Amino acid sequence: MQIYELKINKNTCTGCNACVVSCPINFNELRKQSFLNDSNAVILVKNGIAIPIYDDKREVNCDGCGVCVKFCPQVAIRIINVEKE
Amino acid sequence: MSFPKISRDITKEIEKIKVQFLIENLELILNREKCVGCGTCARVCPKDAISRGPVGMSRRFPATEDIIPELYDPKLCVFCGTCVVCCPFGALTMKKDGEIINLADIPLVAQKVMPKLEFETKKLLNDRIAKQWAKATVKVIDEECAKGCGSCAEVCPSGSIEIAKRPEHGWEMSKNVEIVDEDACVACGACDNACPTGALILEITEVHTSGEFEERYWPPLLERLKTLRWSKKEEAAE
Repeated sequence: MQIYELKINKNTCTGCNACVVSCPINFNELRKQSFLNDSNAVILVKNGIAIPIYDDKREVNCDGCGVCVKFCPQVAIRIINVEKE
Repeated sequence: MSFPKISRDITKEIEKIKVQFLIENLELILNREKCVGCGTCARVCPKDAISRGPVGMSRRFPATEDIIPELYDPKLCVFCGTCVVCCPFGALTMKKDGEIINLADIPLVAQKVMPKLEFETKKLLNDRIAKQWAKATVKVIDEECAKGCGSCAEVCPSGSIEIAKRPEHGWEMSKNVEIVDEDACVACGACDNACPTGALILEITEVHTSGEFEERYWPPLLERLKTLRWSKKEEAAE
């Protein structure tokens, strides 16, 4: 499975939650399980800063759709294409 | 120093991968302006050398340099040229020793392992030209749709998908994704490839071909083209 790295600029991120709400994979998980935490979210706001969550054993992962990048008001997110080995 | 030597150049217009063997060098060049991220090359590749990249991101922000809709692995590639023949937008070219190989000169086509693709050319938005060699319908599973991410509409080269606006009244129901123009669809499968949750499914009904083909090569490839979908592949892997 592919994992795309989300890079977040900690200086400009305000923790507004726009990325968490806009992420389509987060939305689908939220509808299935009605909560978001470390086990089923792709990106979450913790301590006022958005944090991407990666884990190899996770069922869902970032798909690289770029919706969060579009919705971020501070332009603080980048997605990086990681080559698999 | 060991062969093959692999080098990779990325600019805003092209992605060029050069594989240098002892006797010859081969290049595969992706024109990033023509590519829509439909994933036909990935579905068709008999060696699994191409896989799906971050499609939606690469179409939304085409200027970002390191983001490309296809992930290409030059170590697995055998330079058969199937992807070059099948690409509906003509985005891929292959070079041998610095000279472009014509479509008719690719060994698979010249030796009649692959049948000839019967295509009709269509003009699309943004001065794109596509060759359509298949017919397909796009099935929308409304429950899976994440409502309003808009990847499919963003990616579609013919503009035949629209995201419906929210209704004025709360009690009105509306579909999340609407396929406006079925005739304009080029059956490329970009919407299927870009959807992050697997809500759109491309079902290929007809493939227009003519001429002889090799029994061991083409039917399995067609089967792969029709059935391989990334959302399903991940489920199968689990």
